[in-house]
Amino acid sequence: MIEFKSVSKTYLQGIKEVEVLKELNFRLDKKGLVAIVGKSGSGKSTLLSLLAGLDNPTHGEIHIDDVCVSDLNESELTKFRASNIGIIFQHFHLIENFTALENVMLPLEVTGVKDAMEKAKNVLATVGLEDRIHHFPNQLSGGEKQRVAIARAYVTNPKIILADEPSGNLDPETGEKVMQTLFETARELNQTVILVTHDDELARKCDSIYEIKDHRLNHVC
Amino acid sequence: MLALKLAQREFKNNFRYWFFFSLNLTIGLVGFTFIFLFRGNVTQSLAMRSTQLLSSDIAISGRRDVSGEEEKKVMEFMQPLHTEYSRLVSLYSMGKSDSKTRLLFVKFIQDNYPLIGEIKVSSHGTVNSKHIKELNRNPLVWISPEVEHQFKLSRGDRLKIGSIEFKVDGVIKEDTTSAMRGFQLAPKVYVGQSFLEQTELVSYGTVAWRTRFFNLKDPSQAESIKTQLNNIITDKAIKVRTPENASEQLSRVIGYLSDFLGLIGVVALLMSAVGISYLYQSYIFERLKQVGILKSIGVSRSQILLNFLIIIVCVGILSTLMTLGMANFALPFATDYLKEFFKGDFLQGVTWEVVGAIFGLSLIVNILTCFPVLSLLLKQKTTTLLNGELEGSLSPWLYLPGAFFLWAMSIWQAHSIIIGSVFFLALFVVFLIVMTILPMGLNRLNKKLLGVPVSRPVSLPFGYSLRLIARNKFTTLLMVLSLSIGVTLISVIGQLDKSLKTELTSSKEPKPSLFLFDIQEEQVADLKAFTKQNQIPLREPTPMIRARLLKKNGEIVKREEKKEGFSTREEDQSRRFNNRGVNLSYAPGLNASEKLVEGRDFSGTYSGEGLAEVSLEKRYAKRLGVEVGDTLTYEVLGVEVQAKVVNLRQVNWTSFLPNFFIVFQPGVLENAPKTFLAVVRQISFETQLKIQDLLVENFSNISIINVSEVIEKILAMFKVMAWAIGVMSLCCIVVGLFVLYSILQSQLLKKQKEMALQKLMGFEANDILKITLFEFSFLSFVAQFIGSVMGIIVAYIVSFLFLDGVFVFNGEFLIGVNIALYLLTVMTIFFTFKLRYSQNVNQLLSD
Ligand SMILES: Nc1ncnc2c1ncn2[C@@H]1O[C@H](COP(=O)(O)OP(=O)(O)OP(=O)(O)O)[C@@H](O)[C@H]1O
Ligand SMILES: [Mg+2]
Repeated sequence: MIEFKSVSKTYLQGIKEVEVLKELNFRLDKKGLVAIVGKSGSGKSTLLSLLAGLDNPTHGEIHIDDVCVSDLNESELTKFRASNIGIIFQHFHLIENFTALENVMLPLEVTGVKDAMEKAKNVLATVGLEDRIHHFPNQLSGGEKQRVAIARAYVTNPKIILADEPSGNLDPETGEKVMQTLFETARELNQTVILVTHDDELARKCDSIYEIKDHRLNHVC
Repeated sequence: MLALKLAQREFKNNFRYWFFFSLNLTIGLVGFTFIFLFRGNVTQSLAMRSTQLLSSDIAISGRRDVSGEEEKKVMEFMQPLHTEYSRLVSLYSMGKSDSKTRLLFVKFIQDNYPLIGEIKVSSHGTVNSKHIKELNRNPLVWISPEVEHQFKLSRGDRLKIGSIEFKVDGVIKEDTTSAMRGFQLAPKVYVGQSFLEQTELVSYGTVAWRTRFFNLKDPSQAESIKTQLNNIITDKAIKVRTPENASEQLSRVIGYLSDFLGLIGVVALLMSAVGISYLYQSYIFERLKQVGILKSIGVSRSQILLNFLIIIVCVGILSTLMTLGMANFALPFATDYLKEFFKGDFLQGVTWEVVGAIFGLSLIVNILTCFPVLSLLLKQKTTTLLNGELEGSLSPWLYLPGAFFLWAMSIWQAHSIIIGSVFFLALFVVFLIVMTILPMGLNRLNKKLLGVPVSRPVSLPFGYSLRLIARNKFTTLLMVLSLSIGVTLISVIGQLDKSLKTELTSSKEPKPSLFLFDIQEEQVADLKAFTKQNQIPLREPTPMIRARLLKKNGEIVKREEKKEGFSTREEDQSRRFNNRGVNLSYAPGLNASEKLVEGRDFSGTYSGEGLAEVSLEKRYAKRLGVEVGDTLTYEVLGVEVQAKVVNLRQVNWTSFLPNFFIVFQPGVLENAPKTFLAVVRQISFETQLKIQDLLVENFSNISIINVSEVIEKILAMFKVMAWAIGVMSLCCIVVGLFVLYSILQSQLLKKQKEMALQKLMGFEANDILKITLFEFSFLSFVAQFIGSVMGIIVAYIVSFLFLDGVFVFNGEFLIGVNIALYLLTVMTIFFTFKLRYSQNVNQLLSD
């Protein structure tokens, strides 16, 4: 269960306030794949950030199951994310000085999972990177980086995956393949995936579609 | 103009960064300027004290006056050069009161005396020319406290000197002219020079010393004028003296002090150069993409270069202004605090020339430290820049101009090519170690870490930080390099500081109050018994034998070179007496103020076979060009004595004990004709006078000099010097710590994005803190180790060259400064961490 209760987000740019989300209410009960669409700059990434607790809403509350995410402090948030949420960023955000394998392995090692290396290698293999595991991010192409980011988000088996345009940097063929794996695993593991995308075709493959428009979230189908 | 606009935007967007950058430079400049001015003041004020001792800029003195033709030439030569002039005649004569007769040292003075310094008399206060005119008009006499006591005189009483009866006009309370001008045999009195003839002393053949004092229009010319005067005056018995040789060991120490302060100044400047070079390099590294973008949209290389140059010049101006502002703010405090040092206003030192120098210096330091990275940046291909990378490595050659500048500065400030070079070389060695050995180690570490879980070795935070160290090579090297150079510099100062202070600090032993000499051999036993009976703290008398140095390793010695350093009156006397004359002594071993520095102890009493064993004072041996194992041949009253040098001694001359340059083993010189020297240890003024009376009554031939006043003056001056060194060292270390702090701080700020990612990975606050602590502890340890070791090595070498081998290892400083540095590291981390951790991930990622 994910719930937004009259959530607003305003950014302060100098002295100017930029209102991105306004009194947003939204409730998602079922597990499954959710697509979020909207124009560039409409606030899609912002929404994901709030949900993941990367940023605080200006007003309102966000609940995931029975936890009020917007009430947690930084260290509680960190713990909560580690065991519940996997994030795939628009800009990858891999740790530069760590190899692909290490990047994927880290979230497991943090929670003290055994066989972290084996598991990480397996996940990397599913995204087709078994021969790139010792490469550093600056030795990988954009698409490869994105696949490492995906592997990293999946490796802990989180309940919720937040993905911000994961196929944006990939060629159609690879993109499709990556999304295929993403969808299949999600269904298999009964995960909730919230996917921000510009790609209508991809959106249509999801269970439901929402659109951000005029600072609000509207159910499309 | 595009470059100007870009620079303007840069300042607007990153004002805080550039402010910090300028602050770093400012701190160094303030340190340098302050030390520079302070040094000028200290050395000036010390030099002033030493001119007071001579009581003029230049003095011509001898047992006879410069006369006839020579006098005319001298006065003609000096006419255009001097501002003030005075003559002094001094002699020993008996003084008679109603009840007593005693030897007096009589100084016949003239108007203007003393040209430099002052005399205070109980009845007049500080003496001026009116008082001296009065002294020349009426038969008045100013007496020293000893005379007052011995003759039991008070104002108005009569004291007969020669044929004239003088009336006591006052008691001398303070006299800057008395110290260091050789010890006086008898207490002094001042009378007018116009009465010299009437006393009829000179006509009866009493030996008188005649001195002409000059104050020069340009005191800095003293040395060259002295040389010229020496050409005019042919009689070698007449000496021309300048303040420099009025007290040789004093000027030697002032020289050390000045050079050392200069070095501290350079170090302060260097520290800030290290700081800004670090900040600048990390700045450029962050701006790679931006420069790439500028290039890709068609901004030319020269525009980019110009943009950076404009920034550098602006920073230079900003730092100069801040330096002046700080100087304005801080110097009055300093002046207040250091009042006793500065006769004038400290701020007078800050002239337009100084302002220009500060600006020039800030520009040079800026350009030289930023130039290497900048040139690497400009060579890059646009695509590499867009990836946020740098190709190729920083060529060490590019640092050559900076290194050369540093070298020149150290030589200039240390007044020594060798010491400047040692400094330079040491930093170069640090550079080499960090740039060659460390990368090799990091590469090996990196290979070992590949394919190993991050939680190994040891633990997750440890493994994590180890990877950061091994893989963030550029940052690791830059930081270790900057930190270790900083630590090296700080340690050098800290270590030298102690050595120099030790040189200036006297031994704990009580200082002598009275010097007794001309004690005849047959008197020694009586004297000992007498002093014991009267409870006079007499030290065991030391024998002294006149001799001549004939041969050195079998070769005939031409003449003894003039010695520097602390020389006793006896040695001065013997030098006057005979150029090759030396004083020998013998002793079974070292005394409390001596230390063996080379060779072995005496084997015992001379057996009569082979060469006798002799021990030399280290500096004396160095000047003589003699080493352990060499043979020396002396002539003692017609008998040749051959001796082998078995050891070199170091003498702590602040002990003021009778020390000899040449000491034989027992069993060689016992039968030679000799006299003895002895000292009476620290006693009160009253007791001194009492003892003097007793000794004069019972051993009339023994000469006694009261040295406590002189010793106290010297010790007080040394104390002030030691204090000055301490203050300046502290100043420099504070600058150093600030620079190290800003390096740490800027490095930590860059950890912001890293922290966001760590949070995303699920690391808890504690682990993130641990990772940073491990990483910085490692960097800091490596840097501290390299820096401390190098610092000690440099300090050792410098003190070997500077302080004639007096190196005192400063363990407390070593431990203290390392703990302080480490605490600084940890505290900076905690502080920055606290500030950052509460921010959410998006805030950390943005920026
Ligand atoms: N840290 C910030 N400070 C100020 N304004 C911000 C900040 N982050 C985002 N914004 C503004 O908020 C708005 C929404 O941004 P957001 O990144 O959520 O858009 P988006 O829908 O993800 O766009 P895109 O499809 O281009 O990724 C934009 O107008 C952006 O300029
Ligand atoms: Mg977005």
